[in-house]
Amino acid sequence: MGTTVTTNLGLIKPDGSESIKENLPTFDGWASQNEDNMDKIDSLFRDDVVNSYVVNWTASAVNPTLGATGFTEGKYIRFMPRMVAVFFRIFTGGIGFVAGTGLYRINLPLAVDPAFAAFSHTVPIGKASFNDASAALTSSVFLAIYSPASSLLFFRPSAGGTWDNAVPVAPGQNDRLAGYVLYPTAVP
Amino acid sequence: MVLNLQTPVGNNFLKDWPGQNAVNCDLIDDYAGPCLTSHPIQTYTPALTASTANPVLGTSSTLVGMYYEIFDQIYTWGEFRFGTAASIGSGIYEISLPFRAKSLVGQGPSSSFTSPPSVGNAVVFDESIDSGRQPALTVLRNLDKLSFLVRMGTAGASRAVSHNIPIVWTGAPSPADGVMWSARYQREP
Repeated sequence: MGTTVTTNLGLIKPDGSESIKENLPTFDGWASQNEDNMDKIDSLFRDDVVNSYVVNWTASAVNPTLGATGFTEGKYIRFMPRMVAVFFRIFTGGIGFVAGTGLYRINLPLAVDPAFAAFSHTVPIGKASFNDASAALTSSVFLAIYSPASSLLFFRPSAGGTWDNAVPVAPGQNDRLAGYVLYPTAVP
Repeated sequence: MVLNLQTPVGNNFLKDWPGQNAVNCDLIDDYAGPCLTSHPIQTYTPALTASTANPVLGTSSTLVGMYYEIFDQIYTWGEFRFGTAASIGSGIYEISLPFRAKSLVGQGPSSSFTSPPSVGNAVVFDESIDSGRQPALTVLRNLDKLSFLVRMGTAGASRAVSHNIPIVWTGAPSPADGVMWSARYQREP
């Protein structure tokens, strides 16, 4: 009486007619083994928890300050199981918002696969939209780019350059940024 | 993709079920391969070509290609940057895929969707000035290659990245100008 396991996932394969028997002193029985297989497959395909993380919105010279009711929010989920899908948003808030100075960036919830260090500068991993509350014409679609040197996320406006306190427009009260990125981690 | 997992039927299914389950375990395992457990991110060497005359990257250039394979879904990232003594070639720039794509969705004479399918994002990287680093769209040029589209001026049109669009490519100081990209597509078979 015994079992074998598959090469990659380690799924338990029943071994002959005795495998359907219920628990024995030296054998869990196929019902129990099947449960183990289900859990293993489930955990490999997707982490069923949508996780939250704290989005730190910073700038290369002076960090911005959120105004009244301003907030940042980050959510992420793992799947397959090394890939991470991250959703983030920033609301600058009202009175009290200060734009800061320099290039804007945000943090990621989980470390990107260190193999990305091979990139010489940055690599695009997602998209974002910037909504200018005071002028629709200066709203923009951003490219979300990862910098291996800093392990942070930067943004390129649709007309080029890097999102900062002046490009594509100086952010003001009640402006919003929302986007997503998709990237691999080193370990599941 | 169909796994053809066995479903027990008939009066004697309890007798047959362990054997069928063993087959199912192998089918699932074979399909998953090592990607879900032990497969690290993979590297490959992309080929940079052009529709008329191929460019030459030059000395101290960069050429990076990576992919992560989940079943038949390929997530790929890469970059090229010209170095000194580079030749920019002529025509639309093309980058080889790590695996042949399964199909060009909607592309063909019978389809109303004749534009190359968008599969990711890219950055045209102007080494000399940050404002010249502009977003681009990564598209499937054919089953084996990517190409890139950029927004042109204020007219809203887009055109393929080539030897003279959207910047004048230079290779110094090396590594200099180039493209960084990401893409996701379904591979053969």
